[in-house]
Amino acid sequence: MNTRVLRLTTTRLPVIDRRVVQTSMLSLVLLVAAWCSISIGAAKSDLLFPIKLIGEWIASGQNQSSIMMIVSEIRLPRVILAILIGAALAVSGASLQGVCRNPLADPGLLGISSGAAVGAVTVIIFANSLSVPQFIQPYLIPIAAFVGAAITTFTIYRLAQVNGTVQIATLLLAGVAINAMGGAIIGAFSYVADDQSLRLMTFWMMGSLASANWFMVAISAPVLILGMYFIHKKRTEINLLLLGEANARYVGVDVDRVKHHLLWLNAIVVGVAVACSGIIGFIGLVVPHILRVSTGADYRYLILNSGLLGGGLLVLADLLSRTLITPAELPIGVVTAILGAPFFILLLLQQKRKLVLAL
Amino acid sequence: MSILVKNLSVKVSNKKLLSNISLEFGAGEMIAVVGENGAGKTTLINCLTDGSFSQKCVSINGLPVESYSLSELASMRAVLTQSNDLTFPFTVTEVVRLGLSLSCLSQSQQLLAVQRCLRKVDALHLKNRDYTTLSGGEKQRVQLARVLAQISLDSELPRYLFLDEPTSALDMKHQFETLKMLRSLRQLNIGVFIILHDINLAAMYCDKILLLQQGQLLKMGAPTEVLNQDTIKQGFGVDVHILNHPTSHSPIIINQSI
Repeated sequence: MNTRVLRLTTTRLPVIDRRVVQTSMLSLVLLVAAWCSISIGAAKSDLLFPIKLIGEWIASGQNQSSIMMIVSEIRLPRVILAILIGAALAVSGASLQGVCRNPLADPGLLGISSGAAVGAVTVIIFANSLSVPQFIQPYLIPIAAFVGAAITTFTIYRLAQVNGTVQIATLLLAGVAINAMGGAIIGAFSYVADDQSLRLMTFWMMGSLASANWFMVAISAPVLILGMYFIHKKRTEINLLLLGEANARYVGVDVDRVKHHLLWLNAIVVGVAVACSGIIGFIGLVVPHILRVSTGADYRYLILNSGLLGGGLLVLADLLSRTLITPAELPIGVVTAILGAPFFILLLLQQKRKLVLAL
Repeated sequence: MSILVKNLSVKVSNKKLLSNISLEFGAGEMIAVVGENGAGKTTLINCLTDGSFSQKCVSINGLPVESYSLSELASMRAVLTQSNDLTFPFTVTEVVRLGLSLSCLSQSQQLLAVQRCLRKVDALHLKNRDYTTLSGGEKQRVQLARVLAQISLDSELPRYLFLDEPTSALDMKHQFETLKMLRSLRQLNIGVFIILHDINLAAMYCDKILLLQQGQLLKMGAPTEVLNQDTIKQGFGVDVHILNHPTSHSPIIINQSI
C-alpha cells in the first residue's frame, strides 16, 4: 500500500505542475501583451510607460505631462477594456460550446452578438424620443444590448432543441439567419441615422475599442467579472453536460437549471461586451479551440485559461488595429478575423489529419 | 435494502411501453433483463433510476425515488446508457474522473479511485489516451469505469448499477471479464441491473433473469426457471434447444434450425 501511494504522488506531481505552468504562462502572455499595449501608441512609444505610470500614481502627481495623460486616460482604460472583453468573449464561447456540446458554438456565429448590437443600435436611434431619467441613460445601451442578446440566445436555443438534444445544424442556420437579419437592421438604421451613419455601421458590425474610457470600464467591469466568475463556478457541471444531458442528470446535475443559468450569464456577458465594443468575432471560437489542442478539454481549467488567452489576444489585436495604419485605426474585428480565420483553418486541417490517423 | 417496483405502467401517446410491472431488486443481486427490441427494457431502467419517470411506483431503500434529490440519487445508483459520445478530446482519466465530480475526495484520492476503476475494466493502460480516439469497445469499458467511480467502490451503503447493454461492443474475452467483475461487485453491496442480448451470458453470470415482452413482465426468476423452450418462444418468437453447460450447469440456448 505504502509503495503504491508513493508511486502515485510521484506520478501526480507533474500533472499539477503542468496545470500551474500552463495557467502561469497564459497569465504572462496577458501581462506582456498589456505592457506592450500600454507602451506603444500613435502619440509616443516607450516601454517604461507602465512603470512611469505607477511612479506617478505613487507620487500622486497633479501636473501630468500630456503624454502621461494619454497613457493613463486613453491607453490604460482601453487595455483594461480589451482584456475584459476578450476574456468575456472567450469564456462565453467556451461555455456555449459546452452547453451545445459542439466546438462551433460562438457568440458571434450564433447571432448573440448581432442580437446585442441590434438592441444597442435601436436604443441609440430612439434615445431622443425616449424620455428616460438622466441617471439611467449611461446604462441604457448595455441594458438594451443585454435584452437583445437574451432574446437571441433563447430563441436560437429553443429553435435548435429537439427532444432534449441541440441540433447543431439548426443552431448554426438560426445563427446565420439572425446574423443576416441583424446586419440588415443595423444597415437600415445607419441610413436612417443621418450623421456618422457609416462610422456607426463599422463600429457595430466590426467592433472597436476606440471609445474606451474609465467610465465605460467602471460600468462594465463589475458585470463582466461577476458574469465570468459565475460561469467559471459552473465548470464541473459543464464538464458533466458534455456526457449528454441524460448522463449528466444521472451523475447528479440539474441539467435544465444549469443550462438556463449559463444561457442567462452568456446573454449578460455578451450583451455588455457588445455594448462596449461592438461585434468582435472569432475570439470565442478560436481561443477555446487553441486551448483544447494545447492544454486539454477539461473545463475545470478551460474556462480560466480561455479568459486569460482571450484577454491577451484581444489586447494584441487592439494594439495591431491602432498601430498598423496610424494615425487611422482598423476595426478590431478585421484584425481578429485576419488573424483568427487562417489559424482556425489550420486547426481544422490538423484535427482532420488526427481523425484520419485514428480511423 | 432494495429497489421495489409496484404496478408500474408507462404509456406514451396511447402506446403502452410498460404495463403493470412489479419486482424487487436487492443490493448484492445481479439481474439480467432480456427481451426483444422495443420490449421496454430501456424504459424500465429509466423508470427505476429517475424520479421524473418513475410514476410514483418505484422506491429505493424504502423511500420513493422522487423524494431523493439528484445528487442523493447519484450517490446511490449509477447508470450506463447505450450511447456515450464525447465531442471534446478528454483523456481517459478525465472521463472516469467525471464520475467523481460531485464527490468530496481530494485530488490524490480521486486519482487513486480512477486508477482502481480503470483496472477493474482492464483499461488502465489507456489512462492517458484521448477518449475520442478509442475504439467502441474501449470507450464502453472506460464509461463503465466512470459509472463504477460514481457509486464508489469503498462505500458500505447499498448501491445499484444500471447498465444498458454494456457488452455490446466488447470482444469475447472482455465480455466474460466484465461480467465476472460485475458479479464480484455483489460482495460490495452493489446490485447490478443489466440489459443483455446474449442470453447465454445472462444465464451464466446473473442470479436472476427478467424476461420482458411488449412491456409485460413475462417471467422473472433463476435462469433455469425462466429459460425454457416455451418462454423463449413466447418472448422472442424463436424455436430453440436448451442445453446444459458442462461445468456450471447453466442453461445454454441455441437455434433449432438455420
